Amino acid sequence: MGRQRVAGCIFLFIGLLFFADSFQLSWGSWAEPGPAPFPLAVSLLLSIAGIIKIVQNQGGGAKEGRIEWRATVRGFLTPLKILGTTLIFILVLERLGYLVATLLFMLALFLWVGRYRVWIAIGLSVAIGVGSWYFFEVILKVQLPEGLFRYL
Amino acid sequence: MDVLNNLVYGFQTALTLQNIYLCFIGCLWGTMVGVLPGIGPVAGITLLIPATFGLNATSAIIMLAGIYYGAMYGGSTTSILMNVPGESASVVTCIDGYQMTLKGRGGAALFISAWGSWIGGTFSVIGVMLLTPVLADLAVKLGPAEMFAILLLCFILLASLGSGSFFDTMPVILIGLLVCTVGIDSQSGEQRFTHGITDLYDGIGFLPVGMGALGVAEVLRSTEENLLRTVNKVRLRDLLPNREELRASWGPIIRGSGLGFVIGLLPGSAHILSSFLSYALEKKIAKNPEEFGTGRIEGVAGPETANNAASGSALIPLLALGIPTGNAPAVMLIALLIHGVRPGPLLISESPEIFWGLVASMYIGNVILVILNLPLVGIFVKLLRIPFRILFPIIILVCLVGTYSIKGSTFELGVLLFFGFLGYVLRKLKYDVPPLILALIVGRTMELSFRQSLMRSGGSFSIFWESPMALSFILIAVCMFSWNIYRALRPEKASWEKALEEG
Repeated sequence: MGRQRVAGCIFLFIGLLFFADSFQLSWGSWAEPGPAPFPLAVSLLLSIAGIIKIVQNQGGGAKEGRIEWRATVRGFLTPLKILGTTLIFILVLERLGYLVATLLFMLALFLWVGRYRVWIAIGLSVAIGVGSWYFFEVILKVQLPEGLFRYL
Repeated sequence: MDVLNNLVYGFQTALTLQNIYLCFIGCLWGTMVGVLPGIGPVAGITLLIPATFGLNATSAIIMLAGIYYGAMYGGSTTSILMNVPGESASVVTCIDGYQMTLKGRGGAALFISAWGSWIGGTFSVIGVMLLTPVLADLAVKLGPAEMFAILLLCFILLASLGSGSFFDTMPVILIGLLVCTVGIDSQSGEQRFTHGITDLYDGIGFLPVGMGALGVAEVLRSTEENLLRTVNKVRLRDLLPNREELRASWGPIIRGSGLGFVIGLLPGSAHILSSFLSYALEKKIAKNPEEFGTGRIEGVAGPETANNAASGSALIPLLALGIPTGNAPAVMLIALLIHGVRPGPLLISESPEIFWGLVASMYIGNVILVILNLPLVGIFVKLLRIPFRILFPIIILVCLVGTYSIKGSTFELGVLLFFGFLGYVLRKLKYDVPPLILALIVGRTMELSFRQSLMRSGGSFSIFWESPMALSFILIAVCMFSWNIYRALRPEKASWEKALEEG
């Protein structure tokens, strides 16, 4: 599948999602337009753009525009690892608190993605975790989640 | 006289110890992000937004603007010394800059690049100072129909002049326009696309989308690359250009200043476009164009001056109309909105300290950058030895904390992650992401202008052609749109287009 076709599918999906939802909104009148017409028109244009991209590349796309799936999946691995680790960090942030969650998050990234040795990864994680906590919480007065430390 | 009095007022604001310090920090950080490939000015500005929360709006914008024009200075360093563009606008500098380094004239190329950047930057600040108040006065008189027409033209221009093709950029703009409709409709109070999720009632925030689609996505893309870096050393005494190089660089610097300033006013990747056009112009008018690519100083002086002039003039539409024409001004607009300041026609009259303080700080910043970039070039190059596998977790962490600190909500972090993924996928599919952010920011104004126009005219579309200004903007937009359709349908390029490309 060509890259334009993949992009076309994404555009069509987003366009149709908003297009269908727009019908539940009120239309108003021409003299006093409601919240529906603008997103309806935009989503319709996006859906048309998506269809054009898909139809244009029906033959699988030009050779230079084709996606090498094996290489793409290999290329996606590191970003997916980072996204997955970040998602877990977001989910546990308020329960564990900023300091603990950040230490674990950094450790996971340095070990799993950065491929550092354990002791170096621990050292870097502690330095960044504590340093960032001091910078944001103490210097910039940002309210960070306390989590486990709430009970201390 | 008014301008001079206001400028004095601006210097009084910018010359406080705190603002000089912040301008210095902005310029220093800007140079650093310019030097480091993989972190552009957009990511550089978004990363420092959380650090501005404790500051007032004037100090915040002084620091963030410093990053923006500082990155343009820093971007040339790695282009010249290593053939690695630190910033996309410096791609063209690699061609002759690196060849000069191989010939032992890298120091002179750095000097001329900094000197040209200073002249281009200063020239554009004068333009910002003189043009913005005039444009703002004009903008006060604009009605909703004119505003809608301007924004429509802005999007068509953005898609036509951006780094992708028109039909690749337009869908990304449409996604941005759709994202901005999420939340409670300001006119009817009705919920749109919220599906009962209370976190979506206020709409999708600019900061998580900006930090995700630009910052996180840029990091994800950079983790795929494995750059092998060879750094050429430069000694201080090698920095001075010879008489011939100085004489040859004057013309390109003057032409680059004018060209860059004009291009910077257009929406799209103005700073990138200006450097390429400047290079093409210098090559076209050169006596020996075949020598370009072998280490000509004109190939460094022109583009580097042009991209600095363009980055300065790109602030004019932002400050006068509240319309960001590029991705870095868009992020600066986000920062201003967080500080409760809405740039637009009333900014200069309502918050003169912000506008004139910024203008004065840009004069100061340009001087700081010349001082920073010449003697300290060796230190900045050493930054490239920091492995990216240490940098990327820090960048992601700063994006996360910056987003969390706005509302203290993990939902916003989910939005950041989602748009980080979407931005990364779009980049992988070779689509330009910044237009999405621009559309998200000005989309609400566009919809509001459209609805207000119809309300004012009692439902008649004639309001869009009764105003000569609105009509002319819409006509230009229609012409450009038709031109893009014609170009897409036509299989062969016209002979003059081929000639232009070859030229």
